[in-house]
Amino acid sequence: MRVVIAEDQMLLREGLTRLFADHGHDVVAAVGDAEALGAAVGAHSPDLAIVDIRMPPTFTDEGARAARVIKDTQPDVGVLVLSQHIDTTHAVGLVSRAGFGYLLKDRVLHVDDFMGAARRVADGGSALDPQVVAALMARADNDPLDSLSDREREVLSLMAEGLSNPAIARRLVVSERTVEGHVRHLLLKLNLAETEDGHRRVLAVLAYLRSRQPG
Amino acid sequence: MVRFGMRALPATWFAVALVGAVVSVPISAGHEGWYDTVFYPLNALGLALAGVLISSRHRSNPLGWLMLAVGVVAAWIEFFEGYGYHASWPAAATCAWLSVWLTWPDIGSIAIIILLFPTGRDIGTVRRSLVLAGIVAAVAMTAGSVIGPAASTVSTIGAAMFGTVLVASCAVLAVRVWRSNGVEREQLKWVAYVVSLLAVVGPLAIFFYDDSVPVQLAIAVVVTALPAAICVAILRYRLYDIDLIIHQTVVYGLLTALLAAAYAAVALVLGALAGGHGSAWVTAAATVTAAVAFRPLRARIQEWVDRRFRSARHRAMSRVDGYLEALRTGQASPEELPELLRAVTGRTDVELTFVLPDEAVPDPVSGDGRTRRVVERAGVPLGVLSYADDWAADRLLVELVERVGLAVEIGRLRAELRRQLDEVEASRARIVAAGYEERRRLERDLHDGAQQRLVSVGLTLRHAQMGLAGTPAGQGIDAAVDQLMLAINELRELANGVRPAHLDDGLDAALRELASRTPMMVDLHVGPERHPADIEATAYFVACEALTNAYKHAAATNVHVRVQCADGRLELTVADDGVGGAHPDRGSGLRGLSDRIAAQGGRMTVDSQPGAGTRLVAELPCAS
Repeated sequence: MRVVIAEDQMLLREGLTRLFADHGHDVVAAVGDAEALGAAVGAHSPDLAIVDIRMPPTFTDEGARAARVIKDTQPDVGVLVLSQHIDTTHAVGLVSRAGFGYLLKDRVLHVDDFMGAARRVADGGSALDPQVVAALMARADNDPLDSLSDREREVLSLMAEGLSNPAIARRLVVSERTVEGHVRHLLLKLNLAETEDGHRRVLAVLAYLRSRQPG
Repeated sequence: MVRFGMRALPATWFAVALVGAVVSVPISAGHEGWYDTVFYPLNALGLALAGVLISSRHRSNPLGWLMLAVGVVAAWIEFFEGYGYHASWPAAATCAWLSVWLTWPDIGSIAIIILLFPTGRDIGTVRRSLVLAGIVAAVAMTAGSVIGPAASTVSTIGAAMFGTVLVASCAVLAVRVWRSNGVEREQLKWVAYVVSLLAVVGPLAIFFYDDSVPVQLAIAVVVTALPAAICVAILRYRLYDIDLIIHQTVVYGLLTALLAAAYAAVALVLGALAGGHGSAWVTAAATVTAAVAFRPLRARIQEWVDRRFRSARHRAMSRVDGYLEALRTGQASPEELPELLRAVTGRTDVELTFVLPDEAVPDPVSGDGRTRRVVERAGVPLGVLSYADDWAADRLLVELVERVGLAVEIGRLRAELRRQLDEVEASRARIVAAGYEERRRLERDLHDGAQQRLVSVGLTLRHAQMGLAGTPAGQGIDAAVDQLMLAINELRELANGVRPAHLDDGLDAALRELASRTPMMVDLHVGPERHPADIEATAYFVACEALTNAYKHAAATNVHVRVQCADGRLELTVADDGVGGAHPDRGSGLRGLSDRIAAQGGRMTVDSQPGAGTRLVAELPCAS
């Protein structure tokens, strides 16, 4: 993978660069602000851009806005946004587009999961942080999720994170067939249509989870 | 020299009067009553003195000169009269003759003096005609006196004319008092007052005329009173309150008359009953009756006279007293005072401003056409009363302000208190705002500093772990990274508690995030409107605390959170279905919320009956 990294903190930027290099990826540019990010992505057309959500000058949502611009101008570039805090609203909004990911920054320390998510996003899939998913899964009144088994809820969470069936199987250390069975069951229970397209499945699950939320 | 000239002429004439008057005393002594000898020259000098005082200050006022002339003539009449007593002296008969007829022009000029008062100019047709008639009457009376009994018809006609003119001039005076205002009214009142006294005492003196000392004395005093009153009215009308003098005269006149009547009635009735015996007892009883009646009668008469004769003042004072009473009972505020002063004086230009302790007292002379009067209490300036310069009749206002001095002091204290309170409130709001800013900075530091540093440390460890998979060192690093991630999570929670980053996206985003992380059913209604950052932060922390209370203490399962903004007020309502019984005074959580809300000019109410859930409503000012 050819990767562009945008992170204003030098230590972290170097750490991320080394992490991708350690895993055999080509970090074509590592920059410190949104403007340089736009230039680097335009120049290198990478497979993946890693974007810190808070960057100079205002340290609010420069990264998120730069990510949207990249998606609008170069839809093929996968964009993985890293954040310091959980932001359900922002996150779900961003991930509704293909090739988009939203992860908490410390997720990079789960190296395998992080690399898997990076790979997914670069390939046009999606990645949503487990903590954001957990917030989305929070119980509601007369919650249809109550009808799911613990295992099915677990599978649903991983689906929402953007994982494919084989990835879920690997994560849960079960067979792919078992996962398919859980998926079929839970979609039936929640009255959701089955779909082969990975991203569309994520969208359907997220839309469903959000619809249960108040406000 | 000019100044000397201005004063010199009247002074010379006064000296002439003085010589006549002084010399008249020794030569008259023993030939007439002593009061005649003493008082008539004094009256003459009184007139002359008044004339000197007025004419030396107001040269163009004919009144002063007229009075001076009358005074000089009157003094010399006394001289001629005294000289005439000494038949052996040369020309004694001529002097006696002079003293007889010279009296008449003097008497005749009394009416003219009243008519000319106060300036002698711009007199209307009526007064001019009356002045002419008065001159004709004086000439006729004088001519009649000069010619003697042969011209008695002329004397009679002149006297009749004089009487008519005198009565008419008094009537005109009354009308002028009625119609005039301002300074002229004050002046006219003085003369009218004395003329009224003359009207009462004069007929009485004529009726009881018996050369007795009291009657002579009364006439002398009253005759001197007219020039004195004219003098005061023209030169010093501001010094004395003529209203008060009139008022007291009427009060004590009536009181005397009524007490005398009561005394007489009791004495008569008891005297008749006693049949001529025990007259000492009758006198005592009558005296006791009069004494007992004095106080209540005086109060009644005072009240009645106040109402009748000084109605404006009486109404004003009653209103002010009513206001002070209302102030005492808390039904009126000191801030109403300026409006009250305007209302009772009928002057819209009256203004009262409070002088706060560290404020400079405004310069009384400002040149903007307004008079300023500093209201003081124990030497401390409390306020400044100002009104248009053209208003001379300010005595009532001063009296009113003296009466409401306490209200002025209270008003000033309240103004001072309000200013200090404003300052305290502003500083409290600033402190809260600074607290929020500090929280924002702290949150940034935690997220962008410590948290990121820990992530980089983790990454370094992961890098070092390369190629150590399965070894004890690799497992040790895994454990270290797990610890790091726990630490990072704790830091994140801490930073979120300090100030949620979502507040940057608005209150709705922050509350939505809060609701999604709350382990209860939260029914959230909040619009996307933005408000000042401090207000949003306060509303957020209030909602946060209320949700925490609902979950931790009230065991609630459902919570309604509603944010409404209308009429510049943001209203946050958090209602749960928990056990209720929460009270701001118990536990510091609600108290702290209440303080924080109050610091920003808002208020909080908590309705929490045991078993009926808790309903917290916070109102905050919002610009939108």
